[in-house]
Amino acid sequence: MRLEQLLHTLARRLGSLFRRKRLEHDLDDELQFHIEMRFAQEIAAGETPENARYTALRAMEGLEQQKERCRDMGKMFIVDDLCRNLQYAIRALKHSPGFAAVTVVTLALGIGANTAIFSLVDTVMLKLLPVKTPEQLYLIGHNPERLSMSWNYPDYCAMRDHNTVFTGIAGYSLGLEPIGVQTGNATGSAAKLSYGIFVSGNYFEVLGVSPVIGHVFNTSDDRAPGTSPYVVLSYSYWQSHFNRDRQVIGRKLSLNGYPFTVIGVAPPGFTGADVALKPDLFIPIMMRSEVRHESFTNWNNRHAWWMTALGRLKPGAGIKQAEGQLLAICKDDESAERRSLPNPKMARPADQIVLEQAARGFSYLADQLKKPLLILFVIVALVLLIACANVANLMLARGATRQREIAVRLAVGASRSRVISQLLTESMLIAFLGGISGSAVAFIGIRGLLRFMPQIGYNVATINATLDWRALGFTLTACVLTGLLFGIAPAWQSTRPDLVPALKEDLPGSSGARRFTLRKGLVILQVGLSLPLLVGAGLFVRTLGNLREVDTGFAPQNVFIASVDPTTFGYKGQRTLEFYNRLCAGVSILPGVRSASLALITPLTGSSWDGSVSIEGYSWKAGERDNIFFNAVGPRYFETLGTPILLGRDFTDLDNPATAIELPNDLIPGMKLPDPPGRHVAIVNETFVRRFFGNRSAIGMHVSMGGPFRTNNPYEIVGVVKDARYFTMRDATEPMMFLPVWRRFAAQTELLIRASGPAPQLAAELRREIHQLNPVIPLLNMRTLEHDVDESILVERLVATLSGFFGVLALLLSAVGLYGVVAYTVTRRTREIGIRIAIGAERRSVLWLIFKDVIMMVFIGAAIGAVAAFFATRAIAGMLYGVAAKDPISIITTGLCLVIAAILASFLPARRAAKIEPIEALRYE
Amino acid sequence: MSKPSDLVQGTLDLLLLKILALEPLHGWAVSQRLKQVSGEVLQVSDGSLYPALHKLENEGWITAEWKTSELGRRAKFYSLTRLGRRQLATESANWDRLSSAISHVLKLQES
Repeated sequence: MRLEQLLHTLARRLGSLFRRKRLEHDLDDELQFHIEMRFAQEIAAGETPENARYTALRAMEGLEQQKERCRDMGKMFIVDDLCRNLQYAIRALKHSPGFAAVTVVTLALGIGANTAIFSLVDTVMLKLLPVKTPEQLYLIGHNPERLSMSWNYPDYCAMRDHNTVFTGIAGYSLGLEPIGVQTGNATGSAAKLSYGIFVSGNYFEVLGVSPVIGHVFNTSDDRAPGTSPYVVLSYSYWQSHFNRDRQVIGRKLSLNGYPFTVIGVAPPGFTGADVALKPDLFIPIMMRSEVRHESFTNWNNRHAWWMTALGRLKPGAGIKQAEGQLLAICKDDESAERRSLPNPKMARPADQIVLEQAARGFSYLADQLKKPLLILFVIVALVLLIACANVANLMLARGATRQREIAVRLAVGASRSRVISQLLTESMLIAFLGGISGSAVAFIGIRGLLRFMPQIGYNVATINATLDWRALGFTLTACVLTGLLFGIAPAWQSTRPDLVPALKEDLPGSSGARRFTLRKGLVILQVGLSLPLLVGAGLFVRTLGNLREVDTGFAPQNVFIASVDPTTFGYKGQRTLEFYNRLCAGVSILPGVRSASLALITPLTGSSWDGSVSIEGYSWKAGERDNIFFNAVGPRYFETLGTPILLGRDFTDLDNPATAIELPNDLIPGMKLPDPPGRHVAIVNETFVRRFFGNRSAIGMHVSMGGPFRTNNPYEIVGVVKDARYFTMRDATEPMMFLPVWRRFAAQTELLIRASGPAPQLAAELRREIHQLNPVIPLLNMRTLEHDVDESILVERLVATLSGFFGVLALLLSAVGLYGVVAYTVTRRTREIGIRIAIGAERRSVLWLIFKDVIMMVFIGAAIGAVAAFFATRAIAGMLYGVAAKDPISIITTGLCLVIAAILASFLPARRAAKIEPIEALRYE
Repeated sequence: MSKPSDLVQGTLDLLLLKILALEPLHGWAVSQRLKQVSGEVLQVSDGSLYPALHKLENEGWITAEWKTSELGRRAKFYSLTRLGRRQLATESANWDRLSSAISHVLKLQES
């Protein structure tokens, strides 16, 4: 009966708080009664009263000691003692506000940084999804060599309907769908931009999520395309857009112009299985065509990989068994496709299946952040350790000044454990004050950290962390651990039972030889920890610097990128082309705009388009992939980006076909796309020329799509442009070929604008231009190219900035620690130094006396740190760019920095030592 | 904490629980009763008795009440609680097991 005992103990402890007097009185009475009884027994046995009293008292083995033992064994005043300890600790801290301030601020920085990083780590990799038994959830992936989490709809349906190992497999679209939402009844009202996710009918059921109001989708919503015009709102969208109005159920919303009915609201905190995405609207997959104006066959084929499959594994079902079964199902689907195609070779082969634990959700962004965040977590943990060493050092110094007080308490009979518990209470108080201020630091820190995360944009993926109860729980744990960490050693040291020297007033520190060794040890530890932190920070900062120095091949200043998509409003082919061309022309003549152009893909967004080609006069070597990267761009694209055209000419409007075609509705894999009439020209980059033509000129040469090379209507190279970064800042530029934007088909394209200045009014002007073309089409997103460049090196920026900050913090803390120790030495040795000077020691030799210690500590610490850094930097080798992990120069320069910091930190106290006047020193104390 | 040398570690708790199981007693009476029922073999020193009683009280195995003693003076009477009875049952079972095992070992014939 553990609970009964627990309640008993609790009642007793709390009771003792208010009944101290009474309990003391009872204890006294009880023992007194016993003594009287013993006394009476002795008298009865014929002893004299004097002897009887003596025997009775002696049997008790000391009345006061007996009482203390009873108090201890009965744990009578444990709570009361704690309160007294606490009062005493508060008083002690009030007496030394300087000490309190330095320690609390040091810990606040350390604990706050840890809490802030923890809350990100928690969001990215620890938190379970807010759904029913998340441990059963598995994401279905394929192709283990290059693991992919995307799926096509037919394979998904086959897996969902034919497996026996999952209680259900839910499907949902990758990324978010920007949607223009009109809430009013007027058809012409302006559309508000919101983000939706397409989900299968069983989505909520598989996740085990119930709506707060209304109802959610069910399997009947998967039956036929276009038959379920229903929408479920996310809780935060319901809050922000409908003011939590319960009447929202049954309301009509127009999504990209198509009428939908609201049927329910998802519970608070539920944002789906991708932790980085926050959809506003949940829409049945079967309504995809209505929202996107895209044909059913266009997304219902085995070549369109646009969704995720998330299954809830049946209890007892094995992962291997499930993977095997799903593979068999996909293979069946592959054979079915093969039978249906005119060219069976075009069927998509089924990949091997991999199940990934999804209890914590999954997100590509989170995946990318895992390692950097763990590294940062290690860094802040080390900083906290350095902070603890600092506080411990200060506590030791304080312990030394309070030595007499402690010695007296021990001498008059306080048990050592009692004094230690008193000192630990003080440490805990400091730790908790540090923790409370640390929470404030964390609150600000998290906001700062989130600024590094991708900003809400076209495809909203970001990490949203807050200071929640989990983070506060972490802070609490950190407080207790740090309190013990920096409290125990000083408490143990200051209560060592060699009282006699301490009681002799005039020998300060004579018993402190060992304590002083501990203090030096702490400084060595700090230096040893700071060095790897600084080396790591240096490498990360240089990596970021190198990436910033990379010649991107374009000039991102004052370049804006705008996303707008008329195709989701039913624009097709020629209409799409005209919309964009008019918009581009309208924007070009706005004041402050230098040029504007269109592009299928803009640099460094992670999107790419590649395909196989055959090049005139070039045969692919064995093992060489016949693949290059493409982009489709409008006239003046290179001018707008700031990429120089090295040879030949730019595209003109005449390079585009007079009429653009739409991608056919029933796209059969391998089918030849219709080719609109008109000339076929292309522009290539330098790498393309170097690789395929060597020193020869590329102008006038020809390239055809696919292989082998056909002389029938190939693309003629009319221009060569400078190399530019395409996917990432790190990877070297690949051979690229640019086609005129409308050459192949009309689809959504990005609008690029080069302004002559920062142009804050541009977004509003652009909205006006779009409104003139069609009022219901929203501007999806507008950002600068610099923003995209920055975002592509987000991880590097995050790591470099934070590791740099914490490296400097570590250096400062170590310097403070060193200053403290040196200052303490000088005070302690004032008289000795005075005597040395009095008998003729030179000031220089006094300085040396002090610096000798400093140099010893810094060198031992730096040596240990250098070894640690040498091995630790291996772990980060993969994250560096342009610097080697084992860079001796980094280690040596960092070591020099530390030595300089150490000399600066010890300069003031050392100079004080050298200026000691013998007379004053001898009068000292 | 000093314990009488003739009491095996931990057995004092068991003896006190057993004695209090018979009837509620004050500390002095507990020490006298123990001496008496063990035929003067077992004895607890005054110095060890009260810390032990307070410990049992803290565990919740015994509870105390102030009552008038046989001599008309107020004394603190201890009695067993429900938790204490359960504890006594476990402890005495343990003791039986242990003591029979020890005597079994001691009865081995030397060759």
